[in-house]
Amino acid sequence: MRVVIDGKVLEARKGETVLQLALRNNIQIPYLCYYPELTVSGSCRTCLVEIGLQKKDKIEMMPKLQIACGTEVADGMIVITNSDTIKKTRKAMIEFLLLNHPLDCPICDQAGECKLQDYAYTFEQNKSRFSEDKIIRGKKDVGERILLYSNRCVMCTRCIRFEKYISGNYGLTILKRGVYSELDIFFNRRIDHLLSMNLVDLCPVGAFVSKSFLFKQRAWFLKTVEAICPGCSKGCNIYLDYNNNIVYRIRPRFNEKINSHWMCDIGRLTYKWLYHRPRLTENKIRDRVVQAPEAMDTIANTLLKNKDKVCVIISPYQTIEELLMIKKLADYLSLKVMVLFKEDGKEIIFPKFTIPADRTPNRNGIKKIFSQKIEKIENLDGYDTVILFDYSPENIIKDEFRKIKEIIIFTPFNDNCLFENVSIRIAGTLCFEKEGSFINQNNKQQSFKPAVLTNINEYDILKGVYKRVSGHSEVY
Amino acid sequence: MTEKIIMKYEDKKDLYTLSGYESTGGYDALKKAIDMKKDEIVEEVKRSTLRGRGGAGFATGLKWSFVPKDSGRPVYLCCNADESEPGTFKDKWIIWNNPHLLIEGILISSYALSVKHAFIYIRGEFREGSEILNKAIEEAQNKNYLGKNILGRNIDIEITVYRGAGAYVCGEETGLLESLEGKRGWPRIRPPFPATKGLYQSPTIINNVETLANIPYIILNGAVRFASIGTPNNGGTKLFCVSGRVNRPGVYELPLGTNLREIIENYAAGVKDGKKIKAVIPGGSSTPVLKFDEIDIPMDFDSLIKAGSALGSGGIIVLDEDTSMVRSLYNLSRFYAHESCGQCTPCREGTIWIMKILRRIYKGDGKPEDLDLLLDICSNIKFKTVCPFGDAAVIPVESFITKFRTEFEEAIKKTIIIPRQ
Repeated sequence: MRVVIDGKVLEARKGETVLQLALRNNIQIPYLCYYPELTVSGSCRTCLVEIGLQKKDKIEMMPKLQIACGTEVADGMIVITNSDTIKKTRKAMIEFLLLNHPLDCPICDQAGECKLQDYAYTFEQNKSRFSEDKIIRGKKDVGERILLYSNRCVMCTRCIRFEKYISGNYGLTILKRGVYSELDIFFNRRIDHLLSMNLVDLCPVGAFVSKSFLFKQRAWFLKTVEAICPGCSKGCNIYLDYNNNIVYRIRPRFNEKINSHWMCDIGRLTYKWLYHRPRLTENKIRDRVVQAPEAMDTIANTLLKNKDKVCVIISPYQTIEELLMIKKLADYLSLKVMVLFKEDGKEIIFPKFTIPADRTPNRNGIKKIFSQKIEKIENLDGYDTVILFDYSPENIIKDEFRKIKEIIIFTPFNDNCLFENVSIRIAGTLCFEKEGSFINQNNKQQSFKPAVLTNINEYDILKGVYKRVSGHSEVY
Repeated sequence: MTEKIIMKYEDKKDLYTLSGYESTGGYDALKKAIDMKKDEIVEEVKRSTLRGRGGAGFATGLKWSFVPKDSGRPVYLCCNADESEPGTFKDKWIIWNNPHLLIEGILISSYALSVKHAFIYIRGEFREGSEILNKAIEEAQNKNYLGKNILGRNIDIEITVYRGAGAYVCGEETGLLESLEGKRGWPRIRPPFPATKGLYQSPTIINNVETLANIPYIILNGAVRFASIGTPNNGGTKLFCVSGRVNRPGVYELPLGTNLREIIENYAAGVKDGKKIKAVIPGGSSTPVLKFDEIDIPMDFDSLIKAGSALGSGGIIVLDEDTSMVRSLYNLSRFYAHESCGQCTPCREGTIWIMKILRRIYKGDGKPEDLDLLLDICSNIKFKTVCPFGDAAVIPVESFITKFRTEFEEAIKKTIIIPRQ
């Protein structure tokens, strides 16, 4: 199917809309109410374009402007997006939207990534002809994790459609009529479900804001890195937004096969793991701070001395790369390997999104590397020494470990396993601080990059230990 | 005296009862229709040149022929009784005084379109009207004119009266369907059109009360006789609702093409206190106003379009020489700002902006650039909204300002005093 947009001949797919075709080919058409995955609303009227249809041998222009988001492509269709009429229309629509908008960009979280702000600049809507009083609407606490500044709302109804079709919660509605219309929740029906923070991404303006990000950082200071959510085995693709080595926010990254445009609130707040417990930043033998080589020597000696009675306990929060190194070490010394993890949660099902019961990111990675032989910790009898990799954000160490003679622990958290038998403590990193990969529930391996730089490197220590134990000088 | 169709027996006191209606030959058309073929009825309506009486004037027969025959879904008929256009009260007359005529029209149309369930969407304020209709439906049901096996034949038609909640926009056909489905009355984007995907995603025909009330006459007397009333391609009569500064306001049934000045002077008995006419709104508030020298015009769909106005719903509002155009327009703009549903941007924000500027001018705080600003806002709303409400809201503003610009300029300069009542 051939469609001509502004003189460019484009190959269109059947069933797609003019807007989708244009965006796919990098032709900019402004839009506010359109959102992929949601139904067409056609109410913002910013994507109006001129459309002509092939009628026998001539092209007949439609008498009215048509919405690009709601018009399906047809063979021989002509679309004009850069005429003077369209320019005037777009400018007018942005002017209308700004009439009763509070223009509180200086204190709005969305500033810098706001569609309305962008369009106001793009279409040079910098002077208002509106000299009347604005209509003022209130700020509302609509959920555990989100706030609604209904004053900034542009009535695009993306959030309402999300609540209908994606989360199935039907929590939002519009009250009143006309210019007094106001977005609100139904009486006492707060938006506390686990997809609530998607409304923040969805909102083209700053009407929905996240409580955890509110007033924390300006959008233009944030740098972004692509990563994988460590919150569960779904492996949602994410963006980590950080600045000055601090992660401020996690946003979903589109992946058609895994998470589409969404992610859950549990995953979105996983960046807090970095800050919610005291961190272990230095390697210690007993209470003495040691440098890496000394730590490697000590661990290697312990292992070689007593290798029949050593058990390795790994964590499903570790990356594939770390697990491979542990596997090498364990295979070389024929050590017993077990896994430390929490009991499964409950699967949470929304109409278009499922949060799996397994809330660890890499259990499939463990299964793949250690094949199925691996077992959960049940009985530690008969072992003198345990090398414990504990990366769980929750403190789940059990009392059974008290019986062990000596524990060598790799952990990011300082309050983890403070038993007297812990001899060596190696500082670990969380997945936001290192490169690596996880294998998700559908056996898809996905890699991620660090947002926070640290000088902690437990992988090098593992490697050093293996070198010392095996005598190999090069290890990959 | 020309022939009347709807108000023929307007003096009959018990016309609203079944027995009263039957004594005037009521339900004869239904009896005749069920012996006809369905396509024959549609053809007859097509030939009659009956055009939709709700405002747009779309050919009824043509609309009916858009219903797909093989959609596999039920076909619905909705009677639009959400009469809320300012200056219009013709459907009210029909519902209050001749409800059985409407029901008969619905039954014939339903039969012709294979409709099993028809709805009457009546505006929320017509509580009494809905009671009258329900009573009439009950009477007709008892006589087996509607319900199961109508008149002993294998035809089932059910009619449900549904009261709206008082929004002007629900008179717009897709807004009506949304409201009828129990949702917020926000008009839908088209395509798909209701004839293919309407109520509950099924083919739906939406006709005005007056349109449907014309159907029994067409069946009984034939399309040719119907088309001979009125002007070419504008067959039949029209209920004109005359209001404003006239001596005898009211509903008058006259053939399409009757002269506007004649309607005002002969039927509505001229302007009050012998004043002069300043302007006339010919078809409800959403049609462009006509100046005093433009009213020698036949009142039919085509002539008014040619004159740059529209017949609309036939609500003639007469403004005399004492009327302030500024105040009238402010009053109208307030109505549109209040009734805008708030779905799409230009209408939601634009109508209230227009209203606020006009209020300023009315209160004496107008600025010289306001008039051009108003016209520019109008051009930014017109044809850019989801439904025709936006167009309807700006039409009076554009026509008032272009035709009476000096009066607005004087109001801004404060050289005239606007009466405050």
